[in-house]
Amino acid sequence: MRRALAFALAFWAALVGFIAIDWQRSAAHNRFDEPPPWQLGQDKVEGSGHCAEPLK
Amino acid sequence: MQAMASNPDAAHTADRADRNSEPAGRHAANAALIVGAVAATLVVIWLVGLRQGALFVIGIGFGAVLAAVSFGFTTGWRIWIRDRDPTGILAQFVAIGLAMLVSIPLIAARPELSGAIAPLSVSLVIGAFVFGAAMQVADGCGSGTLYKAGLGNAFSLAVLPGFIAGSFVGAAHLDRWLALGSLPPVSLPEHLGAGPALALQTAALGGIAWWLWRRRRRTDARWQGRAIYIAAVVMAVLAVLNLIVAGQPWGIVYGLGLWGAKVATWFGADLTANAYWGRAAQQAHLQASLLTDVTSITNLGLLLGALIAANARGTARPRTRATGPQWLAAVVTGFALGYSARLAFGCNVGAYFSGISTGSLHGWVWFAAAFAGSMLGVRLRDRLGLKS
Repeated sequence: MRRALAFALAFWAALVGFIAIDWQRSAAHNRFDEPPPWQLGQDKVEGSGHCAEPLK
Repeated sequence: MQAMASNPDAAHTADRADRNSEPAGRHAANAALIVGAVAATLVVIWLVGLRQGALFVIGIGFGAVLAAVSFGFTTGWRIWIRDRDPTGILAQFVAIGLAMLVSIPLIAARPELSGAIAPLSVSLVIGAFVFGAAMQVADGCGSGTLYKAGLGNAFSLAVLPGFIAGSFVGAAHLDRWLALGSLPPVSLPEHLGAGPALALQTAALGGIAWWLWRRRRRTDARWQGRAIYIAAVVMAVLAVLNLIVAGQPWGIVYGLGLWGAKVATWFGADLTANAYWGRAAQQAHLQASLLTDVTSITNLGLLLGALIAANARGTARPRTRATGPQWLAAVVTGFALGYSARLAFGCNVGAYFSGISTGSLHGWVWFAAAFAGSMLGVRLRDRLGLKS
């Protein structure tokens, strides 16, 4: 049980660390250029990234 | 080879003991997790906006519903292959069919929404077959590996890094695999019209379901009662919400590949000349935070939602015991899962669930090839001494 808990804690610590490092290294996010809350009814966005997306 | 205790039955046995012995601690942990989920959602909204916050919550819903009933794409196929119990596959068909009934007309009416429509390539057949075999060895598909890793399942934790690396490398090699031969993507609603495509796919799902039901030997090998079908309905609702908010169907593997690509660039890899990662859209994703990526954010929510639901059930942190060769198999299989999913234009979620529910012919090809691979994978699983 303790081993399983240690695995879970290590995983979540690594994940939060990964997100934090990525945030630090990424281009600054422009909060005044955020998309609307949902895509329905908005202009189509190309290249938003999906595993089924063909290689064009 | 020693049998591994990471299988669901063994895990549940151990977890029942935990459930009885630590209810107070579990309740406290659950309260903390829910508070943490609310806080994480607010942080996401604050940092990257309402849309990403909504997708994070949808991801939490996916994770919670998957873990709440142990909804397993992999296990559903395996209990049919081994026990001729169709329950898992029928629940998958309910989820896919209900999502399809809304998604296909919606996409047909609204050009700003996209389906999971991919080419019919040689790589699709090979990739789906390998993925189907590997997911049985790993005891987890795209969603399964992710949500079990979030619970602290050590075997899935060993699979996940390879899955991420494989997704990244598979995408990087995609152009070479497509050179083997490829037909254009086929969207059934675009070719036949939304109504006929819906009728054709409903007939196909219904026909297969009827055939499975006629050939059943039992219906209690893994799931009993209505819970898994209720979960299937909730999954369909979440899938439609994902489409409306993100503008594209639910996916998993793209996000994992992006995480791998980011790590590769941190270590100095130059991906600007790569056929996949060098494209302008992918370079933009690589330079932006993963919190802004629609697939990554649902993946993160899924991890958290699964942990909350499993903790509430007392099935979080399953005990795992495996031999050295089994751990090695986990790492190798993880890479195979990620790599093959990119060749196949998706995993069980991006290709099978989202492909079929948005009318892509590649989803059906994926289903057939991956199921054939799973028949081999179940045998490989036995050979490796992996029970369940």
